[in-house]
Amino acid sequence: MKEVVIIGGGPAGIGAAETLLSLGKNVAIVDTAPFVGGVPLELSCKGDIECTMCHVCMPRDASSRICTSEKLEVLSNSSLKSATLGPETAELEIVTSPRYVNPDKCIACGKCMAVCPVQGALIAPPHGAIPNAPSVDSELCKHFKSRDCDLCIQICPTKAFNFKEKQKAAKIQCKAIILSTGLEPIDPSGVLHYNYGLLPNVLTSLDAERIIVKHGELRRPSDNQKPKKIAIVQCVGSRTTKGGVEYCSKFCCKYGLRIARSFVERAPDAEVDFLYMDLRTFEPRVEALEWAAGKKNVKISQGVPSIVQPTEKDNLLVRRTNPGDVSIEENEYDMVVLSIGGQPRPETKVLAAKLSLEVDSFGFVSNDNRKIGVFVAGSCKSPMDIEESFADGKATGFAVIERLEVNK
Amino acid sequence: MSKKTLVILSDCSSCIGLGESELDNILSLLKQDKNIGAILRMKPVCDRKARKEYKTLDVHGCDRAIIVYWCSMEQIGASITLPKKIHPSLVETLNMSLCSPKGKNERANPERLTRIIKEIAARLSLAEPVKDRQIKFSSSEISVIGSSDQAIKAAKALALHGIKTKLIVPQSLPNVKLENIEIIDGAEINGLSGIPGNFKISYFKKGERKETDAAGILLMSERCLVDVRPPANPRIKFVPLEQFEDHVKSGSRAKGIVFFDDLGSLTSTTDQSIPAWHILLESAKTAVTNKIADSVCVVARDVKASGLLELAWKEAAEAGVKFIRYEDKARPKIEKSGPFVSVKDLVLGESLLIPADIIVAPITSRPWEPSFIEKLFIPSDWNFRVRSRGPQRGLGQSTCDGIFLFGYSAFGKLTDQAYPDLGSVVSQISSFMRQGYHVAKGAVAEINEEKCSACYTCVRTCPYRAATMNASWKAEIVSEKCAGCGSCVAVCPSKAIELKNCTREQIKSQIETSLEVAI
Repeated sequence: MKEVVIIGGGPAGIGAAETLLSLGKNVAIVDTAPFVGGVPLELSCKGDIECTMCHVCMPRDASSRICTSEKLEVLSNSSLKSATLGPETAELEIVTSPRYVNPDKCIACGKCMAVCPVQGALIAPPHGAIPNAPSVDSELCKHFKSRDCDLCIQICPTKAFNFKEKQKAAKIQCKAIILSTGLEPIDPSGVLHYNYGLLPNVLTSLDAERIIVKHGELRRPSDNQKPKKIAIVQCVGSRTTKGGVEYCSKFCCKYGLRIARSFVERAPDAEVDFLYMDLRTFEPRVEALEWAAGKKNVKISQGVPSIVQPTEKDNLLVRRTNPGDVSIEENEYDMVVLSIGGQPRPETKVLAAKLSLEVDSFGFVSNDNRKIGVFVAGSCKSPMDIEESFADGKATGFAVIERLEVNK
Repeated sequence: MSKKTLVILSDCSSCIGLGESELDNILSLLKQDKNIGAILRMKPVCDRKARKEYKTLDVHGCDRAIIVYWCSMEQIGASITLPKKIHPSLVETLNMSLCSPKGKNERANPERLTRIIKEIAARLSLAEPVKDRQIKFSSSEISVIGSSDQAIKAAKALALHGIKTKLIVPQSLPNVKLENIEIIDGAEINGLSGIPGNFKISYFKKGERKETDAAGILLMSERCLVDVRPPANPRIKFVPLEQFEDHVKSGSRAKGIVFFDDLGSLTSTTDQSIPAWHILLESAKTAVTNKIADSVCVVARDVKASGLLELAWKEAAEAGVKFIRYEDKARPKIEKSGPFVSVKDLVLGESLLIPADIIVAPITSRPWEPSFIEKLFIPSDWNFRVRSRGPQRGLGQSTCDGIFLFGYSAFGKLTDQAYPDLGSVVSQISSFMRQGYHVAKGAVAEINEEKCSACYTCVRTCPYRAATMNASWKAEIVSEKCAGCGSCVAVCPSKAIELKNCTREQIKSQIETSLEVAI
């Protein structure tokens, strides 16, 4: 018997779990991904000599604070199959796919990662993920294809691998449910004039962050060199009717400015052009913009590109209209970073139907059902950045406690 | 009284060439040390096995801890949940940096490791245990300073959770009564003394100086809101955005209404704007649909209709609201000759003259009034921006224990962004009150004058304003103000600052002064 089940372990889910655990509640987090932590696990710290408050570490720190709690159960690789709701308690049926690695035995030494012959078959735990143990992708793993590979089983010092694991189904009773499925990144290949996917040096912000996580700095994918001049393009996939969503995704201005800052602080001779439609930042007006105003090699200008074309040496020609004097500007860049927005995950709609919630035309959950103990937290309600969604999770956790304790 | 240290070893020793036998050897050597009470091997993140082992070991006999990490990656963000008895100030983190993520592994030297751990344990044993430094809360009340609907909402939420709440407001509210909440109205805050749990707030009421007790303080936003009125032009009426609804109800017609995103853009006195965009867009739309003006314009630097507000913006634009954008360099001006506003449109590149009988703008804000922060001794940075714990700003707690921030007092944001914070702040206050005691500081920063290069780094950094420069151009720490947080130690480029453990007498005097405040 759990008191609260949190569906979706992103910033909001972790925030809610932290509040609930600090007040002694039994909590289970259900997540379809192999690791609980959500989108921030893929992002990089954007600080340079000082913290720029990108808040990526906020949910990670929180998850490392809660992960040793005895009252927390983490159900990764799991999804909600069905739910029977009631006025007092609800019964959830949760299906858990096999992980093939026992997280209780694993000591995260990383030896199996080194010997695995297939790239991507073993998924390493990102920093701050719960549980801190790798996961096996059964579609890629050689053991499941030809049954002749057992390198990881042999090298593991604690015998944590078990390839005989089967899919499990469990029924959990709980008093309250928090839905916090969050957002997924928009695929910018629908925005045709940016040629994403066709040109190697046109990256999404998420790709750029992955490169920073891997190399510690930004590099061009085509020749692995440091770029000299980059353009950061805002509102890709957001605020458009073609190949995107109509609303503003809210967080892209914030992280776009921070990517620009971390890039320039690491490479002082490089140039950055930050091309936007509207600057919709609130708190960085004081910090990120103040910083940009003091730098000669950072240009913050209005007007997003109309086309991105390839030129020599995999460089990119960006053409855009300058709204100040309605002139057409053409510039060559080494790399173009597209600040992509977020959209509700498709499974949110399915889960919302199971929990008798409604979704709007975009797929955001538009109501909650507190009377029967169904709460909604974080960016599945509306677009939010990490910090806001974490705070919303904490607030929702508190609303749950109000229901469990105060309004008995 | 225990003065034992818990040593936690990160459990990936095999990858740095420490075999089981060598590790056992180290463990047995460490166990002989009189300062070390227990040794635990665990994974840095999420270890259930260690959770079980916790129970078998004499972990709870220890009141200080050393955490040893082997590789440089693990330390970032990874922390271990320690028994509650161990105060964070008595935890030492030791990063051996032996293996790097790129795979360059060094072999650990068992002797060196043992020596280092023993040294740290010996140093830690000199600090006074937390149990002796606990100061019980003398008050069980939280004072909410502020008067907006947010403050009342927060006070209600606190009262709902059984926390005694006092609401201190600057206005006089003779007829307002709230259940379980004591209201002190017409009070102007004068100052704050004491320590967390035993605060004394002094204030002036009708010219008289009065005092009230509080365990903690929740600072609300509107103290930092500054009402900036546009330059006087008798033919132009100014309506604050919050009162625009009443203006619509009055039914008076106008030639033109101009909405500003930020009054600071007119007077250029403020550095931070918090336009309540959802109210602004809604008001502009009602102005058009109710036909109370011939032309309705929104003059803004950027249309900050973030998130789902985008749709409200589109609706307003379709209804007939004109949006005019200007550049930071060319700000709009209110014409003195007549009821007009002149603005250089960024998109068209032309100067426009917009009819403006009525100007509507949200009240602009500044982070805080410096004098207010100084009066309350709230830790703040060089620009009087209130500092909160760690990089994770905006989630309620300031750097000082017991002082909580809410709403715009943390930083500028939209009104609808501020409300989710309420729950997180209330949960923090409730866990603070459940703790029931404050731990007196265990250390004070001390400067080695020979090494000090008078670079002012510590003076700029210290959140408590305890670091100063003395007459001989050396930094000096005022020990009464110093909280022993160690932020100056971390930044000092010449490594001239060290944290020194407080002596028994110093701790005793701290407790005594707090008792004086309480009496």
